[in-house]
Order: sequence, then C-alpha cells, then structure tokens
Amino acid sequence: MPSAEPSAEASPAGPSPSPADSTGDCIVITGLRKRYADAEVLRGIDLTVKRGELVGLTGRSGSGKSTLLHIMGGLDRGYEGKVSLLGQDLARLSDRELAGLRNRHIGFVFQAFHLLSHLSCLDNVLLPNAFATEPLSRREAEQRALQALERVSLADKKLSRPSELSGGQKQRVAIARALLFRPEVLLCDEPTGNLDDFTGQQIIDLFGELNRDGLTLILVTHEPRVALATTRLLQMQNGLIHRGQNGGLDGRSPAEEPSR
Amino acid sequence: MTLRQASSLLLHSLRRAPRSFALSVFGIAVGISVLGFFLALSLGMQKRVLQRIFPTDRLEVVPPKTSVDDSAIGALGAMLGGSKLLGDEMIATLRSHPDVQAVFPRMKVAFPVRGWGGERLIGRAIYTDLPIDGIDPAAVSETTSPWAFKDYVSDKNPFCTEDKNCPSGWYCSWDINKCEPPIPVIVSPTILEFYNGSFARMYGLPKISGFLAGQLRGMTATAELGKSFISRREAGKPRQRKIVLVGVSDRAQPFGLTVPLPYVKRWNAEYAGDRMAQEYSSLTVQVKPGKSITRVVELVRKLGYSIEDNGAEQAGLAVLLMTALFVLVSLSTLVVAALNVAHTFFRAIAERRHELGVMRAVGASQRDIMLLLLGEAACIGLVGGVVGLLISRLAALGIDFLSRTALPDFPFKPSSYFWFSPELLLTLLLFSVTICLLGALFPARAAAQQSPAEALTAK
Repeated sequence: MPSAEPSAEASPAGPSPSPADSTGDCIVITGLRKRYADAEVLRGIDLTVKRGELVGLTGRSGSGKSTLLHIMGGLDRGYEGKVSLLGQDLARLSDRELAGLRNRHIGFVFQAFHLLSHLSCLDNVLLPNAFATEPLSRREAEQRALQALERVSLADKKLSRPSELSGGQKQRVAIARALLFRPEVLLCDEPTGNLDDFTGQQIIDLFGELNRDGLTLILVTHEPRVALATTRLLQMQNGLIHRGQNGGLDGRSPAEEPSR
Repeated sequence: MTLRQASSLLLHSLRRAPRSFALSVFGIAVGISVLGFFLALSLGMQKRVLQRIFPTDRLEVVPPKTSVDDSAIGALGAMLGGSKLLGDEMIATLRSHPDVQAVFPRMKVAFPVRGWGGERLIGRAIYTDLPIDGIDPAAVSETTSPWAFKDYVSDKNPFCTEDKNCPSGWYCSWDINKCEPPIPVIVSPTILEFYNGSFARMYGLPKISGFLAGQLRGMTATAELGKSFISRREAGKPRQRKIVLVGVSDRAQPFGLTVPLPYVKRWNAEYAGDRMAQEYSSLTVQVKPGKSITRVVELVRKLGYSIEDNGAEQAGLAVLLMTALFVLVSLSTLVVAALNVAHTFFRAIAERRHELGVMRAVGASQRDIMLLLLGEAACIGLVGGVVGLLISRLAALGIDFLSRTALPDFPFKPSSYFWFSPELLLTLLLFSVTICLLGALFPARAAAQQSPAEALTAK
C-alpha cells in the first residue's frame, strides 16, 4: 500500500483555480487506511463519489465515518492510500495548496456549528474570504455573503451574534459560510445532530435544494431520516464501508459496489 | 491573507478577549517601564552629569608620578639629568598618533600671584591669591567679544606714560611703558557650579545663570604678579596687570584662572627660571570623534608618563555597574512578562482550538494561523511597549520635578537626570515586540501545526 504522508513540497503544478476531473468523479478514494496510535480507524476504503451525488455515510460511533470525511476534505493527513478530490491527489498538495482547495472548492458543516462567537453572522460568512489567496473586494464579498444568507433565509440576521440565534439558525449561518465561494462539494458532519426534528428537517430540505442545484454533498449521519434524503447511502462498520445502497431521495446515482 | 484581511482578523481577535489582552499588555508594560526608566537614567547620568564633570573624549597627560618606594630612584634619575620633561617633544609624539585630534599644552604659573576685583558681581572687591595657568589659545573657542583669548603683547604695542595715551579699553603698563589690553582670562564652569551650589548660598550672593555669566564677560580685575596675600614670599619684581573675563570654558582649569599660554611662559621665564618656562604641567589630549582614549592611554604609559586621575574611570564604572544591576532586574521582569505572554497564548490557544480549526477548515494555512497569532503577540508588545515607555517617561518627569522643587541646589545639578533618546525609545519598542514574539512563537507554532481535524474534534 503506498504511503500518503503529507508532502512538504508543493506539487509541480499545484491545484488549478477550478480543479476538474474529466471523468466526472468528484472524489476517488483507493486503499485508504488511517491509524491513530494503536487503533486502525480506516482499514482500506475504496470509494468513488460522482459530481452531483448526495451521499449519506452512516455507521455507529467509532466506525470511522468522521475520519473519512475529514480526510476527504483535507482536514486530516497522514494516511495510507490515495485520496483524490476534484482531480487533485490530496497527499501531493502542500499545506498552502490544500488550504486553497478547502477555501475555494470545499464547504464544511459541523454538528457543533463552529461559528466564531465574537463575529456577526455576516462576518462569520465572510470568514473564508479572509484567507483567500485572491480575496474578493469587501463590497463583492459582502454581496455574496448576503446572497448566501438569503439562500438560508437569514439575511435579516446578518448583524446578529451567534449567541442571539437558535440552533437551526446557527447551522444555517454555518451553511451560508460554506457556500460563500460556491464550492463544488459540501462535507457535513452530523449536521442535524444538535437540532430538533423540525429544524433538522428544514436543514435536510435545504441540502436537497442545494443538491438539486448541482452541489455534491456528503453527509455523515446516524439519523435514518437524513439517510432517507440521500441519493446513495453507505454503511460503515469497523473502518470499512460495509455496504452501499440507493438512498431514499431518488435513484439518480449508480449503486456503489461495497468496498469489501 | 492580505495585510488588510490580517489586520481586520487581528482586531476581531484582540476584541474577543480584552481582559487577557490587557493582562498581557500590563505585564510587558511593567517590564519595559522599569527597563526604560533605568536605561534612561543611566544614559542621563552619563550624558548630563558625568560627561560634564569627567569628559571622556580627552585626557590629561602629566609628568611621571613616582611612588614612595621608587621616589629615591626618581630623585636619583633627576639628579643624573634623566627626569622626563613634559615638553614640545612629547607634544609632537602625541600629535602624530592616529587617534589624536589635538594636543594643548598647559603650564602653571610657578610663582605667587594675588588679585582683587569682583565689584560688579557682589558690590565690593574680593582679595585673594590666584592660581593661574596658561593654555594654548587654539584650545579655546568659547570666548566672545570684546576680547579674544590670545596674546596681546607685542613689540608693536604703543609707547605710553599714562592710560590716555592708549587705545580705548587698553591701559598703560607703567613698568614697561607699553599700552596693553587687559589679559584675557577664562574660567571653568566648575567654578560657576561651585559658586552657585555653595558659595552663593553661604553668603547670600546672587547666582550666576547663563545670562549673568554672559553679563560678566568683560568684567575686569587686577592681578599682581610676584606677590601673595598668604605668603611673604616674593619673586622677581612685582608688577600689576589688568585681567578681563572673556568666557567660560571647560578648557579652563577647574579652580583658578586660565590665561593664554604665552603670558605664562614669559612670566615663568622671568620669575621662576628658564626650565619652568619649558616644562608643561600637563598636556590636554583631545581624541578624534568616535575614537577611544584607550590606545592613547597605552602610548602615554608606554612612554613613561602618567594620566591625571580625575575619577572618571571609577565614576563611569560605578554608573555602569548600577546600570547593569538595574538592567538585570528589568530583564528578569521582562522574562517573566514573556513567560506570561507564552502562558497566556498557550491558554488562549487551548481555548480557541475550535476557532483555529474552523479557520483552517475555511482555508487558513499553517502560515496564516502563525501570522495571525504572532500578529496578536506583536500588538501586545507594541501596546505594552508604548504604555511602558509612557509610564517610565512620566516617572522620570516626576522625579525631575521633585528634584527641581524639593532638592537644594548642588554642583552639577542637572535639569533632568534622564535621557530618552529616540534610539533608546525605538530600541525598547523593538525589544518589547521581540520579547512578545519570542513568547508567542512556540505556542503559535504548535497551534499552526495542529491538524484541523484534531482542533475541530477536541473536547
């Protein structure tokens, strides 16, 4: 199994401003293994996610689904195997290149929202622009941020602090932040885990809308109703994708063969 | 991350925990204020007090001093004609040294002189014996009109029998029947300091300020050569000469009057013999700007002459030791402050782990995180440095005020004991920022190198 330790050097070409995979694959993972101390968390994952899919990743706690999501999004390195996102081999990217990829092409939504409490909703949504290698002008960035807040129906809360929002509103601000640069893929880790049923359903509906607009989504969840909203559902067990099946939303996606 | 983005994020970060920011700033400000206070005090003492009393850019070469043990050998040497004369040969040797800018010979009057005058200053004449020495007129540049500090005696001086035969301001020296202007005299600022600090207070006399010192220029008195109020000893044929104060100069001898060298040479030849007109009492050696006196001192000692010990070395050493002690105390305060900054950053980074993880997730590189945290540290250093310097400046102003109002006058009392030079202020600010950057470096590096996934999932 080839090692995929982070490369200190930048890849010769570096990530293109708008990476594209001619095959239409958004994410391609082969032979992925990940070990923490003595425990092997991922034990050889092979997975392909097509552009426009809404993939659910379920499994019991400790099955490795969050780790897999973090590795897909370039948040975790030091694995064996190969992970390609939008045609870029993540292990070959330098820290700056990987940061640029996360900034422009990947959006993240977390269970704990992770909004910065000292910033307004608008400034939270604008945060990715602060780290962009080619940042938008303040005016353009604010326009985009407002559009993103409108998309999640929170434009009227733009000056509110996160502490003034409900859980559902916080998660929608987090989604707006993830959408600022109109990414190709949205990676969500238990996005409804801290929300009540009604609010959770609103978030699931929003994901459906985003997916219909062409956004590729991968949702880590153990909630059955979220699973039902996916186009493909993958079950993880003991660091392996145990089985794949069509999700409940529609049958657009070809069924994935189980990795083992 | 552009500078504008970085500064905006920086401001947000600093505003999120104002108490922690203020505490770190306070720690640094205390250290910098103590360091700034003592460094400025040390510089001030050296520049405003010590250099006035003990100039460090010149030295006084004197004939060899013999200890008690070898005085007999010295006396024997002198008897055999081997004693070292401080004469023109030595002047030439010193002038050829690359570090020497100028050498000014000085000669003491080797016979009694007494004088009287000073009515313009205190309303009645003072009678006293006068210690007089002569110095090369080229050494003195501080004199002003009406009289230059030079030798006015010449064969061309007009013949006279009384004062009215002479040009305005000149008088008739009746013993030689020649017109002469008064002999120009300079005095040392040391005399004025001691007059103001002791004499004027003791006798209720007016103090001599810079303005009054200017007014005193042109004040005349009478000197009588070859006579003394203290001793009955007389030398040669006593004669009276008028003297005029032409300036205040640190080239003048500390206690006494200084006149142009040719006068003393002529007088010594007449009243004390030829040898006393050839041997200088000392040579003032001025070193070139930026050069140290050390190499010249070595040469002088190698040639067998001595350096007049004016206490400068010991005083300078005492100030240096005191400064070193205070700087050590201040530095230890700053080390504690830097550790405090490091501790604050470690704590803040642990508290902000999720926040930093989110920044990484939305596109911050390790370098961005490092720059952000170091930027915060630099802000603490800059604000702490400015506050610290303000505190030390205020403390210095307070002490100067107390000195002016509560302390009695004393010789060389400065208007300020401190010297806050622009270089010192800049250095301390840079030092403050550097200390904070060093304190924050390790925590910032650890935070930047942390995996984003780890940061986001940390409990």
